[in-house]
Amino acid sequence: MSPATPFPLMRLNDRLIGVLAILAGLAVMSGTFGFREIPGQQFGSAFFPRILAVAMILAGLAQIWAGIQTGGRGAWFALSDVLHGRGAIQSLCVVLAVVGWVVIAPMLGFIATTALMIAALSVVAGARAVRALAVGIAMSCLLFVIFAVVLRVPLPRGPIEGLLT
Amino acid sequence: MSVLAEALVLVLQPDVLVTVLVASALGIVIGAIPGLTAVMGVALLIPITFFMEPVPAIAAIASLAAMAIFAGDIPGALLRIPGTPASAAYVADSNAMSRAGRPERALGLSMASACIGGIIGVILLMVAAPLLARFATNFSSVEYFWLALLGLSCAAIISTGTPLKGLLSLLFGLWVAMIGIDEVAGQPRYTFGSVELMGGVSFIPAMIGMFAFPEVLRNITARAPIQTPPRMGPVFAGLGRTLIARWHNVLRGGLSGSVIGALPGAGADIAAWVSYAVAKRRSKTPEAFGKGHDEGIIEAGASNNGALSGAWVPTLVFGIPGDSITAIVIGVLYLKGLEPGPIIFIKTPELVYAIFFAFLLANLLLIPFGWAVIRMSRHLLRVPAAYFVPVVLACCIVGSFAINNTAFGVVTMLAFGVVGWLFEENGIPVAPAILGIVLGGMLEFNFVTSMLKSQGDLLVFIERPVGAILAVAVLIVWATPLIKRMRR
Repeated sequence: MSPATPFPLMRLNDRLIGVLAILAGLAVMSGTFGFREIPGQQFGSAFFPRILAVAMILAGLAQIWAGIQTGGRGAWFALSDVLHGRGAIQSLCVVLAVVGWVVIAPMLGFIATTALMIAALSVVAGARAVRALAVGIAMSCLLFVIFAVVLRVPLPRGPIEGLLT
Repeated sequence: MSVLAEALVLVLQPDVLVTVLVASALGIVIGAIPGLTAVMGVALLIPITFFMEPVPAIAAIASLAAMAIFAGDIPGALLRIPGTPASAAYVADSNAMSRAGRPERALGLSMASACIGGIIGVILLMVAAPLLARFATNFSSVEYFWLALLGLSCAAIISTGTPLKGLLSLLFGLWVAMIGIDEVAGQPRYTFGSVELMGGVSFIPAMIGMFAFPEVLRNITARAPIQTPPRMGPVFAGLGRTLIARWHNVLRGGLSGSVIGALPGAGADIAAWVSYAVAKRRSKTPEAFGKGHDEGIIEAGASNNGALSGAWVPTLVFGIPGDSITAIVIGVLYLKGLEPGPIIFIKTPELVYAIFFAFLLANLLLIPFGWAVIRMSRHLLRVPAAYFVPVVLACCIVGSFAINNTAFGVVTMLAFGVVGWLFEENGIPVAPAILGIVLGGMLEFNFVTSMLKSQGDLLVFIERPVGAILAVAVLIVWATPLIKRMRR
C-alpha cells in the first residue's frame, strides 16, 4: 500500500475534504431519483446507492468535525513550494502529455507519438535532449514490439508503423 | 495423475518458467529504483498478463511482487530511500549497516530472510487455504456480505491515514463500482450518457492510474540529487552463521508476517512495521535498533515477504483481497473467467496448487536474482528519474490502451490518476478505494440478495452462527478506533 507522501504538494483543509464528501453524497443521492423502479421489487437499483450516499454525507460531517477538532482553521487549500514555478510546469506537462498522446497518436501513430512524449517529458524533467530522444525512440520501439507484435494489440498506426508491418 | 503432480506439470511448462524469469527480472529492477513500488510494478504488468493463460499470469504477478518487495531494500540500505513502503520499517538499520562499510551484509540478510519468510508464507498458504475453503463451501450470501464488509472495513481502518479518510476512500471506490448497468434491473447508473461507461469503469486503467500515475507526478517533481552508492563485498560471507544465530527472528517474522498478511486489508508494509516492533521488544539489545542492528532487518524482512503469500489466503478462499496486490489479482482472476472463492478449490484444484508452486518458485529465485541485483545495484541506483519516469508514463498509457483497445482506457487512467494523486497528497489512502472498486459489486449483490430472500428482515444477517460472528468482527473493527478516540 502506497503511503501518503511525506511532503504534500497540494494540501486541502480537512474541513474542505468534508464539504466535498457531503457534496459528493448529495450528488450520488440526486442521481438515484432518475432510476426507474421495477414494479413488485422491494429493493431496486437505487437502494444501495442511497445507503452509500447517506454514508458519504455522514462521513463528510464527521470529517468536518474532525477538522475543527484538530484546529484546522488554516487555508482551505495550500500548494507546496515544489508546485510553484518549474514543479508546476513539470506536473502540468505530465497531464498534457497524456492528453496529447490521446489526441495525436491516431494521426502520428504509436511509435512517433510515444517517442516524442518520452523525449519531451525527459527534457522537461532535466535530461539532455539527444539522450532523451534516444531513450524515447528505443523505449517506444520496445513497447511496440511487446504490445503490437507479440501481444497483437492494435496500437494506433501511423507512417512508421506502416513501414514496419 | 494426482492434483499435486498436475499442478507441478502446469508450473514447469517452458512458457511459465520463462514468464517467471522475465517477471522476476522486471520486479528486481522496479523494486530497486527508488520511487517505483511493487504495487505499481504489478499494476503495469496486468495489461501483459491479460493476454496470458491463468497460471503464467498469476506466476508472473507473484514473482514480480516477491522480487520487488525484496529489491525495495536496496535503495533503503544504500541511500536511505526505501524502494517500497514495505522496506521503510528497517531502513535506519540497513542504512546504518551500509554506512559502517557492510552494505553487502545488510542486503544479504534482507535477501535470505525474504526468501525464508516467503517460503514460510507459502507453506501457510498451502495448509490454511484448502482447509478454509472446505469450511467456506457452506457460506450463503449473508456470510459473503459480511466477509466483503469485513475486508473493506479492515482496509479502511488499518491502512495509512486516519480511519475516517480510509472510509472516504472506500466510499469513493464503492461508488465507482456502481457505475454501469445494474445487472438485476438493467438500469444504467451514473454513466452520464457515455456508452463506454455502460459496462462499468474498466478496473485495470483505474488501478494503473491510482497506483502508478501519482508516482510519476511525485518523481518528476522530486529534487533529490543522485547519490553514489557504496561498493559491495561478497554477499554470502557469514550469512549462514548469522541466520542460524537469529533463527527465532526469521521464524517469528515469517509466521507473523504470513498471519498479518492474511488479514484483509493489512499488507506487507504493516506486517514489516509490526514485526520490527516485536523484534525490538523481544530483543536483548533494543537500544541497538536503528543503529545498524541485524535483528530488525531479519525479522521485518522475513515478515514483509511472508505477508505477500499470506495475503493470498483470503483472496483465493473468499475472494476478499488481503492487500493492494491481491486486489489487483482478483480483478485478473475475474478477467480470466475464474471466480475466486471456495468453488475454485473444487472445480480447478490443480490451478490453485499451481499458484502455490509458482509462489514457491518465485521465493526460491530470490537468492540468484537477489545476488545479481545486489552486485548490479550501484548502476541501477544511478539511473536518473528524468529518464525512467517518462518511460513509466508510457507504460501506463499503453497498458491502459491495451485492455479495450481504445483511448477511453487512457482517459480513465488519467482521471483516476489525478484522483489518486489528490488522495495521497491529502493523506487519503488509495488501497481502500481499489478494494471498494473490486468488491463493491459483490457487496451490493450479496446485500440485496439477502434482503430480497428475507423480504427486508434485517435479522437474516445474524441468524446463522458464522454470519453473527462475522458481524461482531465488523463491529469490533469499527468500534476500536472510536473507543481509542474517546479514551484520548
